[in-house]
Amino acid sequence: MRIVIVGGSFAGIQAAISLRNDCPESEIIIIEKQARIGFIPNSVNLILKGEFHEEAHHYWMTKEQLTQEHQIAVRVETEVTALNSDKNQIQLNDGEILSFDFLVIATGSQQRFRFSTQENDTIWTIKDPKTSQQFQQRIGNAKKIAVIGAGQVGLELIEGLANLGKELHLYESQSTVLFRYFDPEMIKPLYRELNNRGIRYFLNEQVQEIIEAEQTKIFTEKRSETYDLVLLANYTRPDNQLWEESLQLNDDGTIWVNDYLQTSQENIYAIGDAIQVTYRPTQEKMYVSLVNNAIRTAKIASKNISGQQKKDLGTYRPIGNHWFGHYFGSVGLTESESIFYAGEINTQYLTTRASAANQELIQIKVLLTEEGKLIGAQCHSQAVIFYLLDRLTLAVEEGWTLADLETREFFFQPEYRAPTALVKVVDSFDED
Amino acid sequence: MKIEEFLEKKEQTQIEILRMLVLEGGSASINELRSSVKLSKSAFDQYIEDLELIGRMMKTKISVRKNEFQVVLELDEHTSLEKIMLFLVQQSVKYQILTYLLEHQQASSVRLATAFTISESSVFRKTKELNQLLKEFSLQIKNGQIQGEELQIRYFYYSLFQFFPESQRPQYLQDTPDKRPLIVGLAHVLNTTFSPQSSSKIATWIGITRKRLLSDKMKFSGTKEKKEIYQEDQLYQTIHPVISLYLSRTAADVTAYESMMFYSFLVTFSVLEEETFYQYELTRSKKLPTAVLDTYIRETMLWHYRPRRLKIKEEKTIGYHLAQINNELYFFSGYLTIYDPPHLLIQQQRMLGDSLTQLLERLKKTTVEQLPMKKLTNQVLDNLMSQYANILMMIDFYIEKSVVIGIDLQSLPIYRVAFQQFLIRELKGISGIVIEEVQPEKSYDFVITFNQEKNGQEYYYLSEFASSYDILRLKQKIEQEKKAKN
Repeated sequence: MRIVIVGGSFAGIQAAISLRNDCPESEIIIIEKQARIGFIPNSVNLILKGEFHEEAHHYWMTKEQLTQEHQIAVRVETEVTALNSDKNQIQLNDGEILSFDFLVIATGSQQRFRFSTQENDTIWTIKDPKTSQQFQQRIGNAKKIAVIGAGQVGLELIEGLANLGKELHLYESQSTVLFRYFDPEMIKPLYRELNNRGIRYFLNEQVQEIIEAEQTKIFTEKRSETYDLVLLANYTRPDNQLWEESLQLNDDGTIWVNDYLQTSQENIYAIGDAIQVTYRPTQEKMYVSLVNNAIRTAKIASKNISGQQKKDLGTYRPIGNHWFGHYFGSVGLTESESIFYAGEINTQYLTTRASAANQELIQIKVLLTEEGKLIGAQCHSQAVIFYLLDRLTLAVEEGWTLADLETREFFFQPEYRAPTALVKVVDSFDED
Repeated sequence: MKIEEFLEKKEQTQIEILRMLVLEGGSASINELRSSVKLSKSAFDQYIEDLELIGRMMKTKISVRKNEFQVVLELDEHTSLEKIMLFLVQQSVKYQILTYLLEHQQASSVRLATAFTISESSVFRKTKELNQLLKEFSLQIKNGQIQGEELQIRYFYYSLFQFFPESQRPQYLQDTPDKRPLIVGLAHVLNTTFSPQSSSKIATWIGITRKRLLSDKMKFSGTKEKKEIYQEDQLYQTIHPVISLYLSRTAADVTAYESMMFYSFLVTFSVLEEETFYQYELTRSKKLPTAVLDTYIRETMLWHYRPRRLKIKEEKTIGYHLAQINNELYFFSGYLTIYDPPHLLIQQQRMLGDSLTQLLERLKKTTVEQLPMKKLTNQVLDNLMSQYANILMMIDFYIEKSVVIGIDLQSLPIYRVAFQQFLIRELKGISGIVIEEVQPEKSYDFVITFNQEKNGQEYYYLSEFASSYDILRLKQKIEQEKKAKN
């Protein structure tokens, strides 16, 4: 049995590794258009922080590793130019026709703007491979830089640039930064950090136009500004035009899949950023461009190809990150999006301590259903909170109550765990 | 634009034949009918024979029989002229091209020809004909795309699909579970509930919105101007986060004008129920162009009726309907209709009488003065006047004092009961009257009797049992009383 995977990023590589395990006898081929597989997207901040200084750092997996450790054939610098779904064949850019028994589309997403800005010397997207040297050089020459998009990537970029003595502007079309994951009161510390560093942020301002010249000019409805460098950190979108003729697409251009991640042709699967998944709190179909989502869908597609029927239940969209010395985590429903939830939602603010040895406060906001089950949680602290985030993710997934959460047994070690319970706070967290 | 203009010439003529038969009570002279639709004998016979075929396609009965001099129409009781016409519209190539362009955003003529198994030259011809019709909406099909202001494109499709029952619309325009979160979200922030009809409207609008998300070269110049005016409006502010958050859950690059487009829809098509809309109106800035127009038109109307006044509830209802009409005029262009607005207006003016027809003219002048930026063609104004005429009829209905009639046949033996029922049955259909058996202590504008007399009471004396003479005279008397009272 031959399984062809198109795309050698997180979803594609995870699908290949899972398939090797689930279908040990099959021939597995990854097709990747870039020269290398396993690029870690949005790693510019790691370059800026000096953590990535060699090209190899930008890749989490190599062709050789996949071939040697997992017996997967990898074809780089190869593009699919056509799909013949009737014959179960794809055509490659060198003219070769490749047959498959199963096809997995893991082509991911790209940064695109409605006004189709081409990358040039002053406008850079950050989802494509670039060398540290190229980047350092370009940033070194720029005095005034705009970052478009205040999601996770935009904030990572701003943080990376913050200490370089540049004039920085951050644009966000929504009313808050990180609007998908946090309610406004939970991210107040971030605004304080931006203000302290003199970074200007423009909320509710969608960039309408970018005019490229020696300097680049950005237009919103409220202002126009000129920059030496514009970094696009806006939301990524899939490009599924290639499949349009053969497979059913959704209205937003993602590939339609059923609960088993099969496309409209049953031996073709699509995963990761190429599809919409179910957002479990509201059961909506949603486009979720997160690596964890790519990995989950890859594993489920692998199970289904191997014949072990497994439905994709969807995602609670957990995210965790660290900006300006603050740790943030979110999973499940936010209060802002709870309007889409058909039932009643109760909100509670809680605190706890980072560990027995570290009394740093952790602020938590939870959203509970009428039955008191956790359906969403956000947390913030200046101490590491990721263990708590994992615990909250589990609680939301399993529909635990707060009492369930507190009575579960987890290991204790004073440097890393706090023995105290969650303390209820009467009001919202007030930064002022 | 009349929706039947989507049909081929032959089908338009067939509809014309059916319409004439319906208007004539189901049968008409062959010669008159034939000369009116200008068909040869053989063509006429073929056309009416083919109507039965249409019936078979609809799985219903459409029978048009000819006898020596007459054509007689027989329809199944579940079939109407409107249903036949809408069925034919759905079958028409023009409708199918439009639906295809909504679903695919762009389609070459080769692709359209393949999709509908017609020649490319037919696609070209149909597109050209469609472009004539779309002009009214300032839209055109060019390079395999429907082009024009994005709000107009969505409005056109919305108007088109509103003619069909929800179950006959494409599934992506129906109130399916995938659209529930938006409807729940809107109900939540607006602190209201939506009726099944309103949910269905929202589902259709959002279905069209989603189909348009990936269209390139969208134009927003008109919407941009309106956004500048309306973005501080409280209703806009309330719905903006919902629309913005809802669409952010897709992979599409969503523009800044989605909320404005949704707002235009929400305030126009009676989506919000009267009380919710009234609450919104209280917060609405009086300076907004639509608020100014509403006030001018409403006050001009009510001034005309002074010193008679509407009750607060009635005034709310009038204000609600007027606002929907004015919002449609302000936010959108073009009008898709089943009826012929000029013809309808003439009928309405006849019903309204001279004084209200003059008022309509004043309203027309006010509208033109208040919306100087709007291109108000005669067609647009005719349609608008027809809608204002509906409002005036509503006011008439509210404000008109009823003629209260008593029936006093007490002196008659038992058969009075049947006779009383006869009188009630004959007169009850007349608007603006209340008729009942005389109640003691109650006053009546006049009392129908054979022989009663009471000082100060006006009477109509019947001449005979169940005579058409009496009924005719009673109707005249009712009209006189109505005039005297109003």
